[in-house]
Parts: sequence; C-alpha cells; structure tokens
Amino acid sequence: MTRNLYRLSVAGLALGALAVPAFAGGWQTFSAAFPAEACQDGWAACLTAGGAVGPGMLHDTAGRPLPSDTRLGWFDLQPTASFSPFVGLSAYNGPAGGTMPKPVAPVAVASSGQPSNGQPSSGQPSSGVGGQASNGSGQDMSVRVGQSGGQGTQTQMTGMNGQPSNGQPANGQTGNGQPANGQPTLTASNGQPTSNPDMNVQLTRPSQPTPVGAQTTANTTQTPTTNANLTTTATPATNPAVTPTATANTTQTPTTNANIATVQASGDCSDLVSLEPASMMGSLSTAQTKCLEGRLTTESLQTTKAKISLVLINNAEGKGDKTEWERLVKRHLEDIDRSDPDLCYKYSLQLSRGGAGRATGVIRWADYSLENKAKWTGNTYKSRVYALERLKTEAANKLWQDAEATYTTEHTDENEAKSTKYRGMTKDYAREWLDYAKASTQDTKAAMEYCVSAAGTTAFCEG
Amino acid sequence: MSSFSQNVRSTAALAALLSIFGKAAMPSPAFAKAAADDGIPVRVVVHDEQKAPIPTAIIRQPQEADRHRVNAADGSWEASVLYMPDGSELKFTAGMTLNLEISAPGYTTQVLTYQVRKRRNQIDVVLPKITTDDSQIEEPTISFGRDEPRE
Repeated sequence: MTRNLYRLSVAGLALGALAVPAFAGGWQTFSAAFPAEACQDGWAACLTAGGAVGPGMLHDTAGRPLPSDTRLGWFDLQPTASFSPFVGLSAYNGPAGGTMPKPVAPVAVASSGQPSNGQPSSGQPSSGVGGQASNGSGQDMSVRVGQSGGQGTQTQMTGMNGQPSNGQPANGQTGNGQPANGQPTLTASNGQPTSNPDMNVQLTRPSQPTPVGAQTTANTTQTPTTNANLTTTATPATNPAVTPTATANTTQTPTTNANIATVQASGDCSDLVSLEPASMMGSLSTAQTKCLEGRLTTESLQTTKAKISLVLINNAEGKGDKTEWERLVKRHLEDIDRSDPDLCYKYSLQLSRGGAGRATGVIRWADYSLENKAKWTGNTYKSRVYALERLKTEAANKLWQDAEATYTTEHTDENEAKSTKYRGMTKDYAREWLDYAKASTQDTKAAMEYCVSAAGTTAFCEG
Repeated sequence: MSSFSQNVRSTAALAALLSIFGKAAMPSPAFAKAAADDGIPVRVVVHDEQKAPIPTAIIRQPQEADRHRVNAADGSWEASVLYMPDGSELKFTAGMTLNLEISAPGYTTQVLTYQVRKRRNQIDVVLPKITTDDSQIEEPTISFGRDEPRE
C-alpha cells in the first residue's frame, strides 16, 4: 500500500514537472514588460525630466518593477518618468529610408583609459570617451547621457570599434564599471544596435525648449569616427537627479548648425517651421527674407500668406526694427488677415506711442481687436480689453487736444466742429472705459479724469 | 456897487461849479443801481504746473449750459454775471458762493468753490496733467501661424 502510494506520488510529480513547460511562456510573453517603443514619441529610449527611459523595466516609488511605457504606477498611481505627453518628437538625423550608414575606418581614441574633457558633476569619474574598454582594446567608449540620482537611472551607450558587444547589454554596468542599479543600458555597436536599429537617444532640457535644429542627439547608429569625437559634459542644469546632461556632440551639432547656415545662405524658405527659430532671433538672411517676400506675392492660399507674413513680422521684431515691423504688420492687417486680436492690439499699442496723427489708427485697430476679444479668456481678457479702452480714450483725447489747439489759433466753424466732434469721442470712449473698469473692478481713476475732462462736468461720469 | 455885483457873480459861478462837480462826485441813486445790477467781476486765470497759461481751458458753472473759453493768450476769463438755461441771471454779489468747473483737454478737471468779495476777485487755478502709466500695458507675443487640427 505504502509502495503504491509512493509510486503514485512519483508519477504525479513527474507529470507535474512535465506540465510546467506547457504553462510557461516564452520570452515573447514578456514583450509587454519590455516595450519596443517605450517613449511617448515612439522612440525606444529617451531622456525625460524624470530620467532616462528605455526598453527595460521602470520601478515605482516602492521599487516595484513596471513596464517602461507605463505612464502611471500600477500600485501607487504616481507618474512615471514618461508621464507627460507634451513632448515633441525626437529629431531623427539619420539617412532617409532608415538605411544604416556604412562604418568607416575605426579611429583610435588617443585618450584611452583617461577621463574625457567633460566631467560629470555628480562627482563620479567621467565615463566619456575612452572611459572603460569593455573588450580591453582601449578603443571603446561609454557615454553616459542621463542620470537619475535617486533611482540610479543611467543610460549608457557603448560604441565598440567594429566589435559587436555580443549582442548583450551591459547588464547594469556603466562605462566606468559601476552598477547602474538595474536601469537600462543601451549598448550599440557599430551599425548593430542592440534592440532597435533606428534607436535614438534624445537629449532634452526640460526647462528650456530646444529649437529646431539645435537638438543634441546621440544617434546610436553613428559611425565610429563620430563616436570617437563624442564627448560628454554631464552637467545637470537644475536638478542633478533628473536633468539629463547636455551632451555636446562635436560632430553632429556643427553639422546641424552647418545645415542651418547652408539653408540661410541658400535662401531656402520652403519650410516655414524651420525658419521660426531664426525668425524669432531676427537672424533671417537677406536671401531668405527676399525668398519669403517672393512667396508672399505668388502664394495663392491666404492662410499660407499669413504664415509667411508672420515669419517676416517676427524677424523684424527680433531685429528690433520697429519701422519695418510697423510696415509688415500694416500690410498683414490691411491685406492678409486682421482676425488676430493680439496683432491688432499690438499694432494699436505701437501706434499709440506716436502723436495725434496716428491716433485715428489707434482707434481703428483697437476696434478691430475688440471685435475678436472673445478669443481671450480670464485675466488676459480683462487686461487687454481694459488696455484697449484706454488706448481709444487716450487717442481721442489727443485728437481733441490737437483740434482745440487749432481752434484757439484759427476760430473757424470747421475747426470748432472738429473740436466738438473729438471732444464727444473722448467723452464717449472715456465713459465706456470707465464703465468697463467699474464692471471688471479695475482702476477707474484715469478713466474718470478723462471722462470729466471731456464732459466738463462730473455729473455725466458719475451717473 | 461894482464890487458887490462882482461878488455876486463870483458866488454864483462858484455855486454853479459846485453843483456841477458835486453831481459828478456823488453818485446818483440811478447810477448806484446800475452798478449793482452788473454784479461783481470775478477773474479766473488758468495755468499748468509750470505756470504757463492753458489756452484751451474751459470754465463752466455746473447749472449753466454754456462753456466759456479762456483768453488763449493769458488763460484768463472774467465775468460778473452768468445766464442760466431758464433765462435767469446769476449775478456775482459779495458774499455769494460761486461754483465753477475748470477743465482742459489732457488736464485733470478742477472744481472751484469761491466766496465772492467786494473787490479784487482774482483766482489762479492750476490744472495738473492727466498722467497714465504705460508700463501697465502688457505687450503680447505674436505667435507663428500654425494649422490647428480639427477636433
């Protein structure tokens, strides 16, 4: 009996052992835990304000593992590093069509085993060019592109001169041999990326918007020559724990800048979005400005005309050329589009800094701006409407003063009629301003003064 | 005799002179009445804070319909009577309280309350300029034209 029971137990155990592989899944079962596109913008790895994000596991505040594309912790509902969706797409500077560049002849890094010229501010030894040779050749490089001090999050790119790293990640080892606390280590070896051939590591500065063309991107598909010139300046900007380092890619950034310079020199103006940064700085070239002016005359779509005109307007403002700015804005408002209350308001404000000769324009564009005041909300609405009412009143007052001065020297009926007309305008606008100021609980002092001055009596304004 | 007649003539001439000069020197009731009807003149001089006359200033009594311009050369205005909308006259008399609103384009209006005296009614009024703070006006940033996707 005991023997039979023993045999049955052994048979059951054997069956159970055989059944385990049937229930166990393959590696593909865990694909959800290691998403190929972990980042919000579709890239496999990126640097966010919360640290580096890669295909590996994230950890929540209690250290529990989470899939890296998780936006909120499963248990604590705390936002993860890739929580915010408000990030732009990573720039891809590789060749079109996803083809990989052919590796060129490897270049030995002279400073093998020596710290790079960029020193990380975390106090750790630099893992820059020639930091640690994982294969002992002394020609590898490990570039730390991101740190998260609290979790030890580090992303490492290891380039190996023509020698693949066995297809294995560095398993939590940084370039200087220190463990990365299980955080992702992106290893790419010449033309053979570990996980994604198009994998880019985007370096962004959370507190500063990166203009187009100014992104510093460490592309894992870079050639050894490029990698050899890659240096690291691991200097946290605001938060040493989470701020990604600004990696100075001495090969790529000049290339990007060179592209901009080439575009500026060639006067190409087909891509308006790419012209915006230069336009904001007022640094559009003469050739580009002429190109845009040319497009403006030939363009049939009114919306495109407006876009071109706004680029030119911003360029003039960036240069500080007020005369040109006024000319461009006047053309924009007269011929292209006057539905933007901000632009009408700003133009009216600019005209108000002139004398009585521009006062009519102030009133006209302030009125256009007020027509579209519904586009503003909250405090912006209150302050802008108040300011516009004020601009109108002051402009009418200038006209009245001018007409009065003329009438005192030339007592004609015409001059008197003008004076009376502008006085009436001042009175009406001041009363409107005063009413709005009262209704929106803003300062009424100046409005009351203009109103009483034009009305000649306090009874009209206090009523 | 002749001396007597000469004395008589001298006395008559003197009396005549006295009567002539006496009439001229002492006001008659009618003359005094006319002067009282005109009212006491009040003079207002309007100038700015730099003591320069404001040629465009206007003076107005609150119940009055008309607005009175000052003299453009010296910024002064003078009157002894005002005419109300109902046709009545407001004569300035000694001891009365006079209310005036003095304004000018670009200047803060002043309301003047003045007790009229028998003589030397000259009032200097200073109008301060209306000042506004431009720094309170915010300047918007003009954005680039971007297409907004339809919802």
